[in-house]
Amino acid sequence: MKLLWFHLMPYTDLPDQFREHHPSVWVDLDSNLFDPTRAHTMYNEFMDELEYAAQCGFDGICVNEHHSNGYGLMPSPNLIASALSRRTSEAAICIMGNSLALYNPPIRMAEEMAMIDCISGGRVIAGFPVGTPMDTCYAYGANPSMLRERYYEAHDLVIKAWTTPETFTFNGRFHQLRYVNIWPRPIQKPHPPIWIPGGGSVETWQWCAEMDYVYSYLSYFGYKAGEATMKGFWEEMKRLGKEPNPYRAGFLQFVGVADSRAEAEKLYREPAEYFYDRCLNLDPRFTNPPGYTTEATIRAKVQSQLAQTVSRSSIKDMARTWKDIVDRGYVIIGSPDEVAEQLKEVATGLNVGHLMLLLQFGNMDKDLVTYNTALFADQVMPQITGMFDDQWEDHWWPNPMPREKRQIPERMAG
Amino acid sequence: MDTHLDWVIAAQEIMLSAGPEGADLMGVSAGGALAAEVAALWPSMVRRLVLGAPFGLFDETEPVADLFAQAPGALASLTCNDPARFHAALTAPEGVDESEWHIEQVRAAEAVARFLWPLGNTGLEKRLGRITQRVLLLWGEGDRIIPPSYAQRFADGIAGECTVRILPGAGHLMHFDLPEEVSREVLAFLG
Repeated sequence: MKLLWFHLMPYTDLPDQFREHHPSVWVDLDSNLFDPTRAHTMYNEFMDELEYAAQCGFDGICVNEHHSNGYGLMPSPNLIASALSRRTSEAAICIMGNSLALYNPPIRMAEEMAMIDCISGGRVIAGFPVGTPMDTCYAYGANPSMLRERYYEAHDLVIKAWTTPETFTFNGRFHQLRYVNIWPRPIQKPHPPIWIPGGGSVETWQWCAEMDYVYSYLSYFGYKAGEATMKGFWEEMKRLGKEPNPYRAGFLQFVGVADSRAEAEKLYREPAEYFYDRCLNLDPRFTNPPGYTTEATIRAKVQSQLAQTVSRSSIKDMARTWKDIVDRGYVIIGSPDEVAEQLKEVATGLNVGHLMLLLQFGNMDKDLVTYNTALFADQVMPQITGMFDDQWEDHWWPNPMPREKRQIPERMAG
Repeated sequence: MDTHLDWVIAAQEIMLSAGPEGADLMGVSAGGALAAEVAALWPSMVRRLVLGAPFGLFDETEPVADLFAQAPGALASLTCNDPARFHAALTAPEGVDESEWHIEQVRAAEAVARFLWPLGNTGLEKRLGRITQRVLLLWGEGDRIIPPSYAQRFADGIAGECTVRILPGAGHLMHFDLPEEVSREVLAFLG
């Protein structure tokens, strides 16, 4: 079992009555709500928290990419990842990820991830999401009808840039480059492990199987809502003849640990409601541009059980108050033993070997994040960290330089 | 269909079926942007041109509305003065499979998105001066997608003689709102 610590970096000062007065947390969110001096504090505290998690022994720390978004302040996850590379020494640097179609030219991602891999001594996990409609089509003007085609071509170019020793020419449908020869190249050979944060489309599962990438389901709605998708994923893997190695999969789960359930409610109620009520204030104007969802997926949703699952966790029916949030499994809470028990069920039920844990969520402050993280590391982690390892090997984990060969950053005096 | 050129050539290939003498050509909305291009680039193929609230131009100070950033169900009243006409036109006919009809609607929407994303600015402005045909330019007075003031921009740019008709009681899809009046105008113009 690998336990990763994920930060969304939400803006923690969204006002009361946010949903009532602002139709969208994304794209055209009122910039008057953004105070850069507050963001100075937020970014620095968030990075403290990620570094603390690494220090506590989480196997990896995760950042991701969003644009024009009040609940995700990292338009460039690579900036954060490179800072983390200097202030951590063991944890995997999980970039979850670079939205492939949005970088022009795509070799920018190959270069930046190679830089971070070199700086970190070979600790990068390279995540490549397609990206939400909000991030890609509306904030960045990407054509929804061509987004996935651009994504695949960008992917091919990045892989080629990482693995081709000689300078090569790329004559693609969307990108043409005469001299591709990136300096630096990554430490990890043939390249960092690749994880694909995906939604529920069959094509993504098939592609992950074909390419031998980790399929990582980053749902905000927890394990109950995730069951149908992961079941579909493993059925597809079986159909394709892939062994059910849990390390083929990743899953995101919100967690709040305390001495007891009652204590957890006191501590985590407000941050949880902040997240689901304010952060997930999605405007349906931006969620479904034509062409973003493939025709195959539309047909499948029209005809299958997936539609029911989606609607249960859809934005309209989304839980926004504590009781429902907990009952529906969006957030796992309780004492360390209770949490460990539930996470064992999640891991075995979904057959997932990479658990990405959100121990900071909503407007949770640094003290509470530290408490949640430390208690989890101390009393939950030991109970679950050994799962799966007697039976399965994780082929999708970074392979860094040996510790004794890695550079230790000089500390500044004073 | 990756580039604007791909789309324009596809439209021209449709005109080829009209034969060597050419034909009158009409285009509305996204279709108008393509019809204007064919007339501009292949003058001998297009005799007279009818445009209904064509896409193709964009002015930040008076922007075209975003067709693709609308609440579900908002398009009917945004594109037509009478939303009922929008629904009537887009309801599955008798005997047609509902889910297949739905897929067709999605494909049509995707085609428009693929062609016009993100602003509907196709660079047509540079080529309006190549339109030397006689043009009938129709615009719904109540167009809430492309401001009716764009009619003048088109008229000013088109080299040929351009007759502008602003239609009270019509929205962007003027042929849905006022089918009889639009037909009369077009037939009179082509007649």
